[in-house]
Amino acid sequence: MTTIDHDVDMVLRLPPVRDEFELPSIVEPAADLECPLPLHVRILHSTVVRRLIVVGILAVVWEGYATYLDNPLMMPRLSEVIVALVSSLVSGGLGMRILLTMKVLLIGYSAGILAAATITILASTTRFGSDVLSTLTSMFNPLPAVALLPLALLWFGLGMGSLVFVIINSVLWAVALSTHTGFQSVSETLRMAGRCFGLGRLSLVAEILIPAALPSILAGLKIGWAFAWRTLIAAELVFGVSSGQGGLGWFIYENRNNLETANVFAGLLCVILIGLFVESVIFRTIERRTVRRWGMQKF
Amino acid sequence: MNMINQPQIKQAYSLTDTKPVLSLKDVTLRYQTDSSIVTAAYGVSFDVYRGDRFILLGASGCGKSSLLKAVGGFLNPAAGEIRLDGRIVDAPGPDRMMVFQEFDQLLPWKTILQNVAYPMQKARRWSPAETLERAKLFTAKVGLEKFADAFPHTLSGGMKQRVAIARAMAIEPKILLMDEPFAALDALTRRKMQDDLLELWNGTRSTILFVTHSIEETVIVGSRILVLTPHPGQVRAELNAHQFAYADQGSGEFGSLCSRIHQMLFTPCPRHPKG
Repeated sequence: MTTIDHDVDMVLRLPPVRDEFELPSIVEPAADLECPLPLHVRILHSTVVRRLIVVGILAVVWEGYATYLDNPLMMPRLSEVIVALVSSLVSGGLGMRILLTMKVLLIGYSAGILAAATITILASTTRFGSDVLSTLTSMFNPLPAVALLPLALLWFGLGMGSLVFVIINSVLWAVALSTHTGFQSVSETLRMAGRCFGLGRLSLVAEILIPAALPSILAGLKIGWAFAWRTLIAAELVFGVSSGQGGLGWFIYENRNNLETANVFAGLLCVILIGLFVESVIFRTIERRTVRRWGMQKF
Repeated sequence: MNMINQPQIKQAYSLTDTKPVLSLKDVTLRYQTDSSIVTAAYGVSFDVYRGDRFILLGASGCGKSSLLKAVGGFLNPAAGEIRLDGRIVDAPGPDRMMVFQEFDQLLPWKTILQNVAYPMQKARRWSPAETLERAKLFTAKVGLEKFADAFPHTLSGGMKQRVAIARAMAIEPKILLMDEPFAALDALTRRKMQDDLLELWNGTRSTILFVTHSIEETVIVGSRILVLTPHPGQVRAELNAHQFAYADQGSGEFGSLCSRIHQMLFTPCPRHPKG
């Protein structure tokens, strides 16, 4: 039924009146089907693949540039570096040096985390502890850990003790600071929910605060790991400590003196590969199993 | 069509205990801000009986959420006393479970089933096997058995609130504290949740203390309504609403109760002469 006069301006025309209809409320079986994503999308979904692509591009650029430069003393080709790396691993005792470095690193890292945990728990359960943490962090965090090495050598002598001391110093403040920040940002609702369940102070920290602050705790652990690694290699490069039997840093230093540039690159490559492994295998796995699974972190 | 068996709900009121579960006497709550002390509620007294769906209703800032927090043990009264089953409330505990308005009250690192089971594990009132059994039962009661192994971040807001309610009810608290649990939900979900809450209540007869600022929700969900004056909160009236359910919404009595409450909330009340 149209009441609009056709002579009137077209713009004023009303939409047609349509019939009502109702469908039976049955879910179509087809609506429940899942269809898998196409293959290339799934491959690109894998973080490992994406990262390998980045590494591959870098390797190609390196190989190409070194071939163009043709100066093995300054810039050996990637293939030469890999040959040097394999031969040092097989015969030159590079493996032993890596193990030595990793041992010192792990001892220092775990001691640093333990110290950070103690301080942070004190800081998040008492107000005084929180003041202690923030004062100490602002005092010691800006201090480069290597700068403490001369002092450490004086106190602990030439050996593992000094290295562990500087590593603890480099790990402790970074981890404590980010853990404390993480605890502070846990929502009041979650805290209240935890107390509702009758949790005491320590169990609140262990069962609510730590999992809830895990994204920033993990970030702190990663930063602490990088600091520890950096500090250790620098300390070895400068002082070649550990009583004559040097680690990876010492290996790099020695080979530079002998003008074995390919071996220097091999040593650096080792540092990079171990860093890559820890970051993209160990930390990734922890993240995937925890914060990402719980929806606290994307990508 | 309402799913609730109304005569059954109404019947329940002649069978309740005569001793209150929760009793507040002249409770005054004060907040300390950076520059001053603010009174949130003044001289509030009321009794909640077993099986009540007791509503605290008032304008925003009338101290109703503070009163709920005080009952939860998160806020100590500046004056007066709060007794739960005769014992003075001074700290949070699993005999008063709280359902918050926020969706982030679930533990993101636990699955739905683990979330429901967690407080029961902490309370150690049931054996591990019974705890799991109860967690499954209550997850099913709120219609989420399909999502038992999902993590909270995959659920919608309404589903998260269901989990929170299941978690709170499963531990059989003496009183269930609900702080505007449906306020952050859309209207359709809220409507469904109110129904579901009533149905759950019908199965468990939990005692509920419920804070809201919606008059309609008050009359549908509540059995007894405490109306508070605006800032600071004082008792204005206690009303009965157990005779109403959602189906009564169009009825005259429902409407007149609503407008009575509306009147109380929106006409300025005379101050006490003693001031």
